[in-house]
Amino acid sequence: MGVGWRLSQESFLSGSDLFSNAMLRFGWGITGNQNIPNGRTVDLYGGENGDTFYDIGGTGSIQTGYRLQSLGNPDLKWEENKSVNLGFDVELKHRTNISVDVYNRTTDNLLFPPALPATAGVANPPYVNIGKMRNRGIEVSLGYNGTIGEGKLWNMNLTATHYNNEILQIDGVSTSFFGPIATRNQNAVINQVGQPIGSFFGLMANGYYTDSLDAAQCGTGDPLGKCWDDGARPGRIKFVDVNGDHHITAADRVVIGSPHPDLTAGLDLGLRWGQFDVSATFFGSFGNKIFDVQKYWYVFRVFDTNVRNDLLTNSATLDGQCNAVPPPPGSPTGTPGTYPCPGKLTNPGAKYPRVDVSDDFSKQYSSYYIEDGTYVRLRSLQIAYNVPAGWVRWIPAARIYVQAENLFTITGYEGLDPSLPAANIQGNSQEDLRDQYRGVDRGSYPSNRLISFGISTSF
Amino acid sequence: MNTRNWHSLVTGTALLMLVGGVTNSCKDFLDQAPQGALDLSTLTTRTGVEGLLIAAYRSLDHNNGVGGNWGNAGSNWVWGSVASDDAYRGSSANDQPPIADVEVYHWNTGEADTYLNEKWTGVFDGVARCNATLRLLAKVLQEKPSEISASDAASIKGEALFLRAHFEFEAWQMWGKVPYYFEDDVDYRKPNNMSSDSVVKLIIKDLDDARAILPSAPRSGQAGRATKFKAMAYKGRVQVNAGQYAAGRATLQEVVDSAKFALETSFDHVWTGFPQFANGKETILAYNASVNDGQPNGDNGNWGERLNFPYSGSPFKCCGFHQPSQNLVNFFAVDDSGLPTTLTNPNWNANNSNFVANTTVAVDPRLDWTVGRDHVPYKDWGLHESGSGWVRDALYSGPYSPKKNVHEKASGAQSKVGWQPEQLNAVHLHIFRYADLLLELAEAEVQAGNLENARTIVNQIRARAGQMAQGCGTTTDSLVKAKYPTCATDPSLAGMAIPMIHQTNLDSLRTPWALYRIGRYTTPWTDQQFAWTAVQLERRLELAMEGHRFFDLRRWGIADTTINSYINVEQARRTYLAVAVGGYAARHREYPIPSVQIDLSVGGPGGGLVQNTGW
Repeated sequence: MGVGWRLSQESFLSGSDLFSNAMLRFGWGITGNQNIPNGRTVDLYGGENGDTFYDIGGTGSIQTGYRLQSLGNPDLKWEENKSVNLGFDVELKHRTNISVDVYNRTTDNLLFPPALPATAGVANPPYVNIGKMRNRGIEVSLGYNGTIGEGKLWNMNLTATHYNNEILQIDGVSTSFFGPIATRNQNAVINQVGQPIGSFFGLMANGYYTDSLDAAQCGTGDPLGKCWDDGARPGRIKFVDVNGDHHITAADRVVIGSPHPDLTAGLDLGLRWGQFDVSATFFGSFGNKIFDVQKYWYVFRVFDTNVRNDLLTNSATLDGQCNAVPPPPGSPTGTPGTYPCPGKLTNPGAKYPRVDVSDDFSKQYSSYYIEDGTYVRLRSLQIAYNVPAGWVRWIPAARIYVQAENLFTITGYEGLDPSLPAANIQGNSQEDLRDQYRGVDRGSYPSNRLISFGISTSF
Repeated sequence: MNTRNWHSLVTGTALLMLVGGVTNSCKDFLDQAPQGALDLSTLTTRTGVEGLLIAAYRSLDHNNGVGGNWGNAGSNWVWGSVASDDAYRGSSANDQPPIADVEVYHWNTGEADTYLNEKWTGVFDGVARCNATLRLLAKVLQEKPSEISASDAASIKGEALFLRAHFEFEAWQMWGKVPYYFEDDVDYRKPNNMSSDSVVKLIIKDLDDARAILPSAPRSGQAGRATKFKAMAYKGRVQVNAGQYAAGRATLQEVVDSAKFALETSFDHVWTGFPQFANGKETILAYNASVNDGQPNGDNGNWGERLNFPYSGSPFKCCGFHQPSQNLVNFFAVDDSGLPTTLTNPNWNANNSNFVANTTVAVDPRLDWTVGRDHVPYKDWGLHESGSGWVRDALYSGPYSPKKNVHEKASGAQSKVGWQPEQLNAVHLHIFRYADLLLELAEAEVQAGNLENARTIVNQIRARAGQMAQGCGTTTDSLVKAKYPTCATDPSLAGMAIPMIHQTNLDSLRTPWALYRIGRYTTPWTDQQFAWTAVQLERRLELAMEGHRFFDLRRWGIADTTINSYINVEQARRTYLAVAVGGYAARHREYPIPSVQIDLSVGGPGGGLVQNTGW
């Protein structure tokens, strides 16, 4: 349901020169999302060769087997979106348009399959209407049409969006579940109550261990620290012992960033000068984080891949030894070697941890993988000349233009392209899960820069 | 926006409400099962019950339902072998890092956690498949009493209980205190607050119940099925593993007396792709791998073992994991009477260099059925040559390759489909074999003070091992002919497995690549410690690389000293192991429970899962 109030027609504004239009809007609604996956109200069994079929006789011929493949929920119902929005539109002197919308949308009975413990088997969990999520946001649009002189017109339109997403409830009991994809045995994404959907998950990196004492004491002077046993060494990435158990373990993982931007904005600019016109579109995304999974390869070199070209010069180095020394030749069997580590970190500001083939510690998913994804890009620029009718006898009119797409991008992101395409990810019932896997850079093909030249006309 | 927009907002809402009414009335449509899937009522038949049971058997090795990588390999090569002194992760420094974490005892990294979760998921999905079978069986018996005969129903139930006991044993072996799931459980967040001994009691109860109702011979003549005697054998295994030696001895002796099982005639018939030896008399429980069975990717083959083949210069092409350690290779040296050098020579582990083909150091013939080493024929595939690409990175993880799990070229057990079909085969994966059982009985006999009984068993194992040695395998391969010309001229050398020369209590054979020798213990055993050591040594020699070693060391109470002194020596040979110096500590008594499973059990009755001590 919506209500609008056209202020510009009220007596106190109707005579105004300034406000050519002004309106206040309010909307409230409950809508259902009927996107209920098919066939998920009953338990379903099935068989797959490679999963449930077996050569029970040992003679090379397989027998058909079945297992519970998905658990049903007979009480499935719609999701419910409750939304409230408040907005106003103002037009000033027929030149300036301002529109602002503030909204709060809560999705209740959110349909999703919360993970079951493995002790329930690997059947797809049932879809249940138990989640709750909130989106709050503001959208602002600002337009202006101006003239510079005779035949010289210009316009701009700026739109900006800010939103805040938060998972309010999962199933009332569990507080998190992982995103749909684990890359090389690790989950980079978690959905956690109190956090935005698709948050990044991992250990918290905090520089590098400076010396052997620092490594043993978990980087915090913890006298009970046993982080050395977990693989901490000088020059390796220092992780925060979040749960304070004097070890670095999987239980120290926390939400380490959000793929959601603080602000996205688009700016369209146009200029017409006689027969020439120019238009440009900028787009910017601010404050979003990118989980650059590719570091697993080009920093940590899994599968002996190529690495970044500054890895040798920009890695942490020690001023002394930190590696194993075997027992001297001829020692009796069982004589232990030593692991002297007097070396101290010389360059705490290094970009990469110490180059060390035995380092399986630093490559654990952590905030070290997270980069700022802020960028501003000139998405398109077009300069055109409109050929007047009659210049060429058999052409009524023509337009000649040069157009450039993605001409430049301003960003601090070191990967190929901060504007990651949406991952095409579906769940067990073909539902769209891309919101649970945003901002993870798995090395997708970057945006092209395209420069084209054209003439459009008719004969 | 203008007035038009809020009009549309109102009408839009109304429209959506209308759609809601229509869709609600279509709810019957939602209740339909999609094509290709079966609901429970369709499955409430004999076919349904049998199908669920087949799927439970399929869980003996990795399957596509559980997915993941090699954490769930049925052989436990990661948890039982790489974590011990038998083997390295192998391959290269930068492949499958989670296994490297396991190897250097960093079991609590995020990546190790994921591998642990694969194992946890695999075994408990196995339990769930067993319980689904039991539930449906009860339903069919109740609703359609004439559908399944009483004897078949008893066997089905017994088979499911047997398998459930196996999967719970796997979990217990990994984590100690684990929850036990029955067919009538509905909450899957049970706590792990039972003592380790209580878990063992439940496993044994399932095996007792299974034994009471299972037939003596596998149902329908299908060799893979559980029987009364397999349940009995498995019970003895559980008892010995739990340190209940007296009870285990009685159980295992009963199995031996039943004469239902026996050792294969020769060692090369144990791990083999030749179909005539599949499910032979030595098999108690194995995963029946199959290839070229219609599965388009060869996924029913030796999935869990597929990385464990020589590298790109070999006929198998990839991937060089699970490489035997130098320690293991040295362990196979024998003295003049064919007994392990390890028994008498404190310097048995002195050799740091590549132990290539030679006839100066006599070895137990099982070495060349267990380890691929240079210039020695590799079953019937030609010579193992680490310098010619058979090993991925010998500077990193040494020059040896696994061998037991590899099929023979002549066996035809290789897949024709799948990623790297050369590494996919139908070699049945032994999970529990009779030699393993006999050696467990020998342990129990030593514990009971019956040292001579133990000696008899160990000698029985050694006599079998002395039957056949690795032969040329091929007489046509140009490298073999060039290196060993007699392969082409001497028919006694030509076969893949060639007979040893048998003397009283000693079998030996000199081939161009090795001096094989294996003797019996002829002096009566009078010292319990000596007998205990000899049984332990024999167990390693017989079962090396089969995923048992770590668990054996642990239950013997010598994991800390054995592993830490192993690392101290081995790190001089494989420098990457330096990070593991002193790495095995008290907390490594159990593997950590995967953190995600702890999280998912939150809110369960009794407080859910609690992490093992020290993790």
